[in-house]
Amino acid sequence: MPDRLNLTYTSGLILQTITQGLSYGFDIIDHTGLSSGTVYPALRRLEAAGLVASLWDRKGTEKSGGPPRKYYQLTPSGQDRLRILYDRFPLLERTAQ
Amino acid sequence: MDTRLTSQTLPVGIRCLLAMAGALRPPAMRSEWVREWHAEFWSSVALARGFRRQMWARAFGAFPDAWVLLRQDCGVARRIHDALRSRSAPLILLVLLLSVTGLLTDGFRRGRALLLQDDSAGLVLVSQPIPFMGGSARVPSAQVDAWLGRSETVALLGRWSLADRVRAGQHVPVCSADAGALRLFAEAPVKPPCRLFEPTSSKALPFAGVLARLKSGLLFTRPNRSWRRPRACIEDGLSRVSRH
Repeated sequence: MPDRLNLTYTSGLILQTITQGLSYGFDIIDHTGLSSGTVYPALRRLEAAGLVASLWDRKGTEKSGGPPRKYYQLTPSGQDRLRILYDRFPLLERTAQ
Repeated sequence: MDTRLTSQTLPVGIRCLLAMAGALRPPAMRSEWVREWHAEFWSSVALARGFRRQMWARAFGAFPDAWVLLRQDCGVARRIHDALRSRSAPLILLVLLLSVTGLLTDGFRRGRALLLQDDSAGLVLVSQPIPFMGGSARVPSAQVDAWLGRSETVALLGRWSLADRVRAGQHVPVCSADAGALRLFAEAPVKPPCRLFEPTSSKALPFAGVLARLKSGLLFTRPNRSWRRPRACIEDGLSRVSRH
């Protein structure tokens, strides 16, 4: 499945943002400047491709008192794919540094 | 999981948008999806007060999100099939039907014109050259001239006729009307069912439909609802024109 997914620069940017620890949907939107209509569909595709996994953050709920949020983290194949994307988009790696 | 807190915090408009986008999701998967969006909004509102301005733009992103998930999870055809079997399907179909009809008829423009516009209050269709309820009522040209010359109630009379012309191999209904009728049709919200309006001199329409505008301050009262011959109806109708 991941091999058939054509990853764009935007998808790479989202993957990279997640590796930097910004794992909630709206945090990714704030960090990348992309719209919610771009980030969420991309996250769904990445999750369906097995590059990203989503989990409910119940610990954060206890601290903030709000409802649990869903966070996203890279799977091992997602990390592999991000390295490939760094080769394809050198600017992506530079922005990470 | 408690979602009451989020529901209280989010503006009603945002909640409605999310509910509308959530309708794309199958019912079994909807609550988790809505919880995710509500939680994101809740945390953003709690952290930054200035966020309220961006809320709307973000909420609209729920639609492409739900659309992508719909295509991934069950497919559009399957979702439509399921939605048609739901209890709210007749209501949704009715709303869709009304929306499509409204779009095709320019928001029911003709009906609204008939009901709401008062522009045609002084306009009277004295007779028409096309069949209506089994018969047509035409008036000879001399009668129209007599009305215009002697009537104390009519300000403007127009004569018109409908003809079927062949243009570019197609039968096209054409309305031939004199200057008076063209002017009165321009004021009327409802016009004859023809594609073209062709100006014609009054003499060229010796036997035609007649449209009239009453003099200012006059009102055409409704005739009694008894069955009469067309000619008697016209005479009775004109004699019932009364002063305000």
